[in-house]
Amino acid sequence: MLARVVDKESDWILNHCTKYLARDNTDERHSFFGLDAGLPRAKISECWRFPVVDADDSGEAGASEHNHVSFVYRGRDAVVRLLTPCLGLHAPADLRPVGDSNYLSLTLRVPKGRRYRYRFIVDGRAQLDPINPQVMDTAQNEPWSCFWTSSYNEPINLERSEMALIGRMTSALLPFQGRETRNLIERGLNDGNVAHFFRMDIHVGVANYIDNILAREERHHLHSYKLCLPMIDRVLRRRNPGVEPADLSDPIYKGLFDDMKNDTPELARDGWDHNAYGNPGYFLYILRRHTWTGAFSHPKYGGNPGGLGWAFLGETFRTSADPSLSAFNWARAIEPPLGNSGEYRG
Amino acid sequence: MADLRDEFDVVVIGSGAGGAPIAYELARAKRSVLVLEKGALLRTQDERGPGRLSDFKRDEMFNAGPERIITTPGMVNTGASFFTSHVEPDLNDEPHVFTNVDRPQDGSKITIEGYTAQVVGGGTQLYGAVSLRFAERDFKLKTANQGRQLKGDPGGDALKHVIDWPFDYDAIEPFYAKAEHLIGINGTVAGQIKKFSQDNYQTPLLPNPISEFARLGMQRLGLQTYRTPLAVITQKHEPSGRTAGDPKVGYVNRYGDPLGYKSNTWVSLLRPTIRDGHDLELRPNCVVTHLEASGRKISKVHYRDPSGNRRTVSGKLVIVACSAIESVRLLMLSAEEDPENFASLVRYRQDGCLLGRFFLTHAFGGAEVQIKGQRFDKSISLDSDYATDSCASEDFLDAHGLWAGGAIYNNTSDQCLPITMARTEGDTDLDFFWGGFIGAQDHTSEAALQWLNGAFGSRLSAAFMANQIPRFENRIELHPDVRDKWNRKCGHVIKNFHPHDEQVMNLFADVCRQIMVEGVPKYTELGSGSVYGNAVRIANHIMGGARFAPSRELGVLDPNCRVWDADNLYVTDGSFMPTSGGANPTLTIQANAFRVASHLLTI
Repeated sequence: MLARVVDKESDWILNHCTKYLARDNTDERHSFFGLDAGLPRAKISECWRFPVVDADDSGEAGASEHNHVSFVYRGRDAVVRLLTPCLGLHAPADLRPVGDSNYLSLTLRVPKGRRYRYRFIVDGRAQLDPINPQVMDTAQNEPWSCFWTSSYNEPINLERSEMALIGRMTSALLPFQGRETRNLIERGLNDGNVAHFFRMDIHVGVANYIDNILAREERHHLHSYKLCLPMIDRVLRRRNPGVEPADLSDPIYKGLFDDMKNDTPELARDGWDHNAYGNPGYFLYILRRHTWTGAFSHPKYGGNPGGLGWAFLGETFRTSADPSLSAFNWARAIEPPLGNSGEYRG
Repeated sequence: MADLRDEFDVVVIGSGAGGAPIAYELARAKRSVLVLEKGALLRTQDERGPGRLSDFKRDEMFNAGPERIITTPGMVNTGASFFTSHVEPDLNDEPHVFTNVDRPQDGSKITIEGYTAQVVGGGTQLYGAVSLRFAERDFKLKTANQGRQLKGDPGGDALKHVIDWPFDYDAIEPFYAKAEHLIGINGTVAGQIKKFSQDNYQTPLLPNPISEFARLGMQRLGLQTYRTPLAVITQKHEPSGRTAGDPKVGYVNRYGDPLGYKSNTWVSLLRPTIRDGHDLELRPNCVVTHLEASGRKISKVHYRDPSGNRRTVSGKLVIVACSAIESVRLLMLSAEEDPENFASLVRYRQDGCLLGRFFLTHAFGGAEVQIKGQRFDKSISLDSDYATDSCASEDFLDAHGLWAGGAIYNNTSDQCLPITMARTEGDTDLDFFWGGFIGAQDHTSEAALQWLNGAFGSRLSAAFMANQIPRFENRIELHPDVRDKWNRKCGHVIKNFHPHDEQVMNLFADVCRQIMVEGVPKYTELGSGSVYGNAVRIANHIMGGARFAPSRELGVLDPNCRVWDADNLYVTDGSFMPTSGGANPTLTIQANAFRVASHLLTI
């Protein structure tokens, strides 16, 4: 099997669920813009954290290629089993009491870059995980809860055409989608860190990152992307008939961004529907924030494959006292094999 | 948890700077001690075992992660974004409401300003580790200002509510020395204006080269400098059994340390006490909901266990150290649970009640420049390299008509990482992370590269931390409508600065600016200023609200931090402070907690 059950300390589970789950109040405080209205998860904090996908912190060989995925169920009176293909659909596994708390949990060791469906069998009845908002349908249109591990790089909520447009826009937003980045890649800066590259283009990584956070941490912005991307596509096609938006030049995108920033009449003229999304500048800001965080966050989030964004900064900016030295020696603080810290294990 | 012990000699609520020193001292004196902590216990990697990982990471997304939306209805920022660290509270679960006391017409907002970390170690996990002593004058500001005329005090009332601390610097000095020894701090004594009976500092590491401009600026202005005391070990630290390594990584301020070099109260005080076999029990993920009194004694501490189940425990002594806002709130919530007895102990809503009053933050601000033609690797740094006390001297204060002084130090690690750099563009407050980035819509493509080219590794700032005038009107209350996830009334921060604070802040900001002007050969000025006019800004320095005083008419606590009318209830976080001091408060909170512990050992 691709996954196996591992022991996880009860304290670790409690440290990762108490803040979010324990409460008396039943208001729907966590349904941003009504996203989860009427659902149990609207009443708990940061439901996207469940199941908890974290590092394989066992110290075992191959740990850096795996995640620990911890499933949590609130309530200890029921018999709860986990059914998932990564354990084998014939072999559901029991969730275990977490100390003498009211939680049950089970932790699996799962390879990185994977997505799996699962269900809880509660007292003999299969059900979705009431906490986790991630659901995928099988070919038979059966809904299952699902999770994915670090560096998963297939589209989750966005269409490939949407991913392509995001990728092109992030390319035009970021400072390094030009010659210098290609130079970095050609110089092979990322030896040993290519295991999870979807492609060697960072903007594709950033698009994957955005797709990921729109499925998890910032689900409340998925609707904005779904509304705005078609309008952007429409504007660009109207302005550049016969040319695919992904093939348009940076200056054209710069013009688009300026129009979005200033909310110009030309933007509406060319297809932006303010009734659908009234503030194109705000969408540009969201996109810029997501792009920046994706490109420069830890590579495990997917937008900075192999530390390429960091490497760009480190290669581009040198100390004035000694130009042979980087002004951003990021690797010395980061865990091997990505970085070269002799102390830190990340 | 059915078999948990429910009786202890001492119950400490909160594991940070105010609680841990007391737990440390009393457990080592053979008392049974329980520490209840709302947050998680996140261990260092070596503590978890060979080859294993810490749950603190060198990961910018841990510092201020994904966007969430404020959903509390009726606030001026309902629907706005907020970004918090992974160990800060979810503002929708545990809101703090802020109202400008002088401008209630502006409405109220939910704020993250003033929240400290919810994790074992509390605020000492995320702080920048600046561990300055207060100046000797800071303890006697009423006396020091007798007969003086202040500038910028149009109502003549700046000093109206100023009281001296019930002891002087000499009385707390041994406890400063003790804290510096036990916590593990590097820095230099030479150059400080404070008297030191012992030099317990570890040797500072080489400063980041960019800090030389700040040192030079201070020197050219005639300001005496010293290496900023930082709670980061640079050598083997015998008291806590820690070995030193390479802490200069840029992941210091606002990060928990996966390696335990940063001297938070877990690795420096609590962990070694437990390891040494003393009777100290820690219960993380347990939130105290209220205290119950029987007569003049706190008879029970009510808390929720990690599942949310109701639990109680009792202690012969009860120490409240949840950080100033939350401690005041806990006492108020307890008073509302028992409007007769407990309320009378803290005089809640009675004539002369001072609980919640004189809430304090700091007067702070600074100046920042972008150095032209020079670039440094700022990611190889701790939080601050050089500091000066010269703006706390009598001569300086007399020359400028100020009531109290402060410290100035340069920041080194600020904006050394790319996401933080974008998120804090424009020096926006914690509630407005990414706000400057929103405005900088032109930072795209080549323009973004030019922005980086000017800023990356080239920004230098000097910051000041000075006393804020205590105002009776500045206070913590329970908000009547907004409740937390336990359905308890949440804290309401009502405050603003006094006009004389503007005088202080303008002058200090100008000194910071002059440091940049004198020290940096060529620069682009990014700005100088202060938090005056933006009262919500707190820098997570929260003090006052339950000040101690020589008489019960003047304060909530007696000089040993005991609630005047209660026999066994002590409050030892920053809420005891009657004035906020001209420096970051953590070391003084720790020193005072050691002082209170020494008293508790005598009773």
